[in-house]
Amino acid sequence: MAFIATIAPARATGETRDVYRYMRDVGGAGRVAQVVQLFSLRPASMRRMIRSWELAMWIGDEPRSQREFLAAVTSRLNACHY
Amino acid sequence: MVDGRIAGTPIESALVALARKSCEAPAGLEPADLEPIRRLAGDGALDYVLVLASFHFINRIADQLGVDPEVAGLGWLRRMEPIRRQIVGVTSRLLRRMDLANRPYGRSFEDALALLPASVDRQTLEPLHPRPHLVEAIALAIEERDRRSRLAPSTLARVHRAVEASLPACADDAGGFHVRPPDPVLAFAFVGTRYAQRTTEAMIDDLRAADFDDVDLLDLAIAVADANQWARMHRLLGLPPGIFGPSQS
Repeated sequence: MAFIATIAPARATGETRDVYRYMRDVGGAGRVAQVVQLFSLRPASMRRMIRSWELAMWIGDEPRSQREFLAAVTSRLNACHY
Repeated sequence: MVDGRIAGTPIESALVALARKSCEAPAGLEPADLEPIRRLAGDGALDYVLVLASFHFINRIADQLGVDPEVAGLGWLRRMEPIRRQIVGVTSRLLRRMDLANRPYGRSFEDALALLPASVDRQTLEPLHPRPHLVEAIALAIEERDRRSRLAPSTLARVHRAVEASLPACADDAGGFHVRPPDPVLAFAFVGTRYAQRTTEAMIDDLRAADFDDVDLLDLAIAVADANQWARMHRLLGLPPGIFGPSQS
């Protein structure tokens, strides 16, 4: 269980629900990652996190596979089990 | 190498070397560390800097706020290798359902600069000209700090200085055992910078005892994560640290 309260997508209303929809549009996988939900107490911060993720992983010329590789290596070396 | 396995292609090897230094000795990062990737990818090296910095942000948010596993109920099981491999398999299948094509960026460099507050010297961001989306990423971090965070400017400045002072200079800094500061805010910044996965509920309880509520804790985690993201970006790109430096000393 997270250290702070979060609002699950199924319980979200108003701006929070709108940002979850934005997340699904950006990610295209139809689901909202748990790390995104950590921002749900402030939808504007959640929207910023999602936009930053899109800038890092979709914008630019380098292959997505190599960006995912770098993300995975960085997370592994940071010992981040998520 | 990661965990004894050698990365395959030259670009993968260069990315692993950069990621390793960014985790084990980020205090010593410098533009020369990006040169092997520039030789292979040209200006594409800037794309990789943003990926690297962004995952230093995301990893810290996940660990410092105790993110739940994606597969409910697995908890500690995800730390067991066979289970972890199954989760990686599930994640890979989910990734295959995602849109993995690169997307166009609709802003020119000048348009991206306009997102920044007037206080930022535009000339200093010229190294980002080939990849204006990095300017937007910086602008988003500044906006988060200056317009949304509930933390006092003095607290944000204290956190930023604590992150810079705690940045590992060697592998032992990033993985050894050290006395952490008694102040709960500084302890959170110290642990979050050196080994965020060691953040404990007791540390969160100490912050709650100092009147931090859930939104304050979110803001504190964002402050630590953003300062760590910026610490890597400005060093690798040769940008003035003050672009995202403490707003108040």
